[in-house]
Amino acid sequence: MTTQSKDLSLEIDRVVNASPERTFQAWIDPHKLQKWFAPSEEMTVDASVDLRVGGKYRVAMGEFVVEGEYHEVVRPKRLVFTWQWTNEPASNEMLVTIDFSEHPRGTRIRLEHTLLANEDARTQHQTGWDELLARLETLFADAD
Amino acid sequence: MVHHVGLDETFAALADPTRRAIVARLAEGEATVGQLADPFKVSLPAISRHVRVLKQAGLVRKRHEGRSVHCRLNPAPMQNAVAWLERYQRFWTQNFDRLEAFLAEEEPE
Repeated sequence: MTTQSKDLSLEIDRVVNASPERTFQAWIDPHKLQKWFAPSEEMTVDASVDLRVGGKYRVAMGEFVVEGEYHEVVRPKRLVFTWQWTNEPASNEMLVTIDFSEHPRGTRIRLEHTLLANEDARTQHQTGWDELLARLETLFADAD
Repeated sequence: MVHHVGLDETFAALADPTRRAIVARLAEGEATVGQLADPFKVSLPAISRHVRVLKQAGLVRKRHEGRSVHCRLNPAPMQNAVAWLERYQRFWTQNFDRLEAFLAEEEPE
């Protein structure tokens, strides 16, 4: 296939009523992450963060575990990190980019969640998506 | 042989506006490559290449009838892609709701 493969992204744009510094802190302080970083309040969150470029993070939301590495850390403006479900060996690597900017009501957060169209990932993980989606459905269904 | 197509392949196939337009056209019903090329200012071979990418991603099936090739949409891989987008949309929206609640409760430092 000669066609250049491209990544595809989901974008979310939100404004929260807090300063960029405080908002940024909520994303990088493990104690703060534990209080909100899961779609449901019933999910126990455990987080560890090594905040530096090349440093690793890990967040467990109940049985779902996501791990990754920081690619960019610009306080309090930008965070870029990889995203990989480690409880699912078949899942593709993803990339999350978050831009924090000042807004009259507090902080504007622009988040981009990208599924990397990676040739290795494609050949190694041809199967597994259906199972992953089915399992993720549990995570997201619990959050309703 | 069953060719299992990953979501990234579906996304890559759909990342191009011409291919999205082809998919939209095929959603209305079967068409020949010539009919698909009609609305575009590009050559038939160029449209054929786009159709081939869509076929490799499992989004298009081809049927030969005499000298003409008929294409039809196979929406199954797209449903996976759409499901992926919907799930992550939901995941982040719910996380952001909780972030907002957390920031509202938290004492400003």
